[in-house]
Amino acid sequence: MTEVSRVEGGGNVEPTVAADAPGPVRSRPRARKILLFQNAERYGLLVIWAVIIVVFSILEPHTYPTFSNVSTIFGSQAPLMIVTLGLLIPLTAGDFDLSIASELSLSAMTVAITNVNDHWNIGLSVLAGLGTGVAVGLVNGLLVTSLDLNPFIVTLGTGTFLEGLVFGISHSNTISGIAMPLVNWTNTNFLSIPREFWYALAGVILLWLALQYTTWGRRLLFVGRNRNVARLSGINVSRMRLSAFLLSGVIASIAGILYAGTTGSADPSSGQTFLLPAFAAAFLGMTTIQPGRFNAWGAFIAVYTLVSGIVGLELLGMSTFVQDIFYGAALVMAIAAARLMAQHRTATT
Amino acid sequence: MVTPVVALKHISKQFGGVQALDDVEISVLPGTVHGLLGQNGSGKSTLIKILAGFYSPEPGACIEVNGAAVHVPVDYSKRDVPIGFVHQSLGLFAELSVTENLLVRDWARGFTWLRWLRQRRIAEALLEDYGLVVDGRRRVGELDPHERATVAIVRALHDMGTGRQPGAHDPRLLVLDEPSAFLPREERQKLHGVLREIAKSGDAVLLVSHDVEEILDVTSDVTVLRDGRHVGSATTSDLSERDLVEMILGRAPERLRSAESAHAVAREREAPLASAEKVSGRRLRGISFDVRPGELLGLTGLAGSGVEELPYALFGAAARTSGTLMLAGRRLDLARLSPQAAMQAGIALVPRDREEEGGIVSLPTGDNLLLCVLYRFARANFLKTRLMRREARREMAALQVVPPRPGIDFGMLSGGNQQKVLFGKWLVTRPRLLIACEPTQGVDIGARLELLRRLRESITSDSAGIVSTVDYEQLVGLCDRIMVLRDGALAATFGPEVSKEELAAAVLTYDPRPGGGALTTTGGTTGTSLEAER
Repeated sequence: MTEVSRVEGGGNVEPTVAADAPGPVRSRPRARKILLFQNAERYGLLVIWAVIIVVFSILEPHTYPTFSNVSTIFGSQAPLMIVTLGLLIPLTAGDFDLSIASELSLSAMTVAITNVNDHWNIGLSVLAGLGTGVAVGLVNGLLVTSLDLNPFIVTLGTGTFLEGLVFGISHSNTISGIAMPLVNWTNTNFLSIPREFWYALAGVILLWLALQYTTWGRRLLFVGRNRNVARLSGINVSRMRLSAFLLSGVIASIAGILYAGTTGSADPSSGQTFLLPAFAAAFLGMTTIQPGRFNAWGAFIAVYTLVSGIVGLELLGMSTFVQDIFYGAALVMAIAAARLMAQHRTATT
Repeated sequence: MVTPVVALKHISKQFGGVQALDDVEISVLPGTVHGLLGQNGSGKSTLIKILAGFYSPEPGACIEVNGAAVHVPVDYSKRDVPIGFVHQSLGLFAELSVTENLLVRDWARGFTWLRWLRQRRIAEALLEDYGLVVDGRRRVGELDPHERATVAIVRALHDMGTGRQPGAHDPRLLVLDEPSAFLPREERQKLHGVLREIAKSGDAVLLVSHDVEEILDVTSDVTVLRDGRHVGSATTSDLSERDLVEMILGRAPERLRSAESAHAVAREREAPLASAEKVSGRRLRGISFDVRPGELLGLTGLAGSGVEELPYALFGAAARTSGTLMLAGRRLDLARLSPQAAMQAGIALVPRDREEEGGIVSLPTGDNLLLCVLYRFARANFLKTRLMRREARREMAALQVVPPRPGIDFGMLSGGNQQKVLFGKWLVTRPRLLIACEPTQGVDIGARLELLRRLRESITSDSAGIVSTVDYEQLVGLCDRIMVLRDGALAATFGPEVSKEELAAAVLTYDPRPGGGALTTTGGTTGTSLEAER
């Protein structure tokens, strides 16, 4: 049905206030103007990304537009990309999940502790990491659905709880020395880019398909837009929300495993640096490709647009605080842009 | 001659060529409870909205408050107009205390410390003036319904006072828009006591109601509107129930016939397709009825009679429901029925609120239309979007939705087209029992007939339909049987040949009790002629 909205267009719609009147007549120049706006909206962020790349390539011709830099950008941001994908699922269902970052830390730390300290087989450690994702997702989902609690507050609480837990089990130490198979599995280059990028890309494609072309995705969207309509349409709203939390927990744990693989270690405070970027990317991604909806390709573009800008600024000699400035500003601008676009859409159509 | 608190003269209003009000006048005297009566569409609510400054009347209108003409439309922003409104929804915060609810507008401006004990005393004293003794710390949500209504009324009175010059003691007018529709009968009496109390203190009340019985009980004067025209104003004590019903309907109510008709008798022999037994809930009190195959059953009553609740109860979408529903040989426990299970059993509910319950305004119409049957377009959980698009376009063309384009957002369609889509959304599930709740609300007259015809046609020999609406007139000539609810129970059942007047009389007046003769509309000697079912 995305096909529908894309081909028919969410926006190329004439005024339909008096839609009982016989078929509307399209005025050509107006239609073209609307189409132009639609495309500007849909691909605007791609253009911004291109501009960022061009500007920094001119400013730093020897360091920015190099293959190694591109490869680093794509590879290093794979955990962020994946954790953002997980976040898109509860967001689509209308729920916030603030525990994703802590879950990422917990999963990475579980892999590190079981593998390094307890000498588990790396495969078992990875399974244990995934297990934490299942557990956290279920706890969040059950608290929210069966007790009807506010997900924002619940996940703020569980997230903080988990963060403390991670510091506890690691005694606040970074644990390094994770077995090579995992490190190779994430870091080996494929087509000159670390494998984890390709995993993230596969995740983008999977989530795109799941949200757009499955009954589950369609139900999730309806649940997110209006619980009442969904309930009266025979959708089990609680089960959908539970599945969304479960998946975001599991996907965050996958991101944690990749993160552990990237560095070969787990650092108890690392996860928190993903929270705001993930939200910024999810909301910025909502302004592009499928404007007005959380969508996987939009999130992909948003993650890499933001990172391209940050890396460029860092190469210019700015210190790491630009990250926070950049992500924070992007989050606020993204929701402002989404709101303005939505207003414009209703005004033009 | 006493100066009226509020006098409205020469009030007319047109909406796109339709004359909603035509030279209406009404004046409310101090110290009275004045009833404003009329059927749905008679212009009552338009008149109230003009008084509230929500609509501008046509030129020539005059509104006088305590003898002085005020600017039209009325401007309430300075809080110097002594008119207050309480709407049916009351507008209270259920989670907050009585004190907070009552005094909230005192705190809307400025910055002061709140001394809670003092504030509570103020609130309790205000309520006590009108006979309500209640702890100001209690949450409004836990009060009885009539206590809540009283809090809303006292708040309106209190707010009227706050913006006025000290020493001004002009009488005030309180406008109540069907405040008792959701009150059980015994609680209405208590509310009426509050209204009398207000009148006794020299202020006036304008009570908008459908309910003849209530008007007779509490008002001293009454004004009746019909089709946007002023039928008459009179002293209530001069009128009988029969006179009032006649004024509302425009002709004498016919003698009511028995519910049974030849048609209904013929149907009686068939096995029911669905039978509801002892359905109870928030308002419903043990309703039982059958629906026969091929039948379209009408369901009506005043707002608050349970007519709003029953459709949701049968679909498993209302809280606190009990009872059973037998449908095509399956027994459904309504206490545990979920909408999913109801759908699987072959029930469909077209809900009352199109944009809050029916469809999602920000998503494409095609997606809305096919939401309940997504599984038909899925292979191994993957949607065949091309097929969906084609099917949505086909359905929309068949439903005559304009424009027939699945990609357009549902919220962009007009009311009539939205309703067509929602019918389609549920008809594609091929329900055995289709329940439509207020199907023509906010739909223009042309589309309305079209929708009802479509509803009628959608019923096959092994399915049935229920239309539930407070707008009882549209059921006449449409339904095979019409059930009237009152106070959560079944008051009467009519066959297809019932007239609008008969139905109106049953909806608007007391429910007849077997042998009780409470019904005055018969005018004959037979006493009760309406048959109370079960």
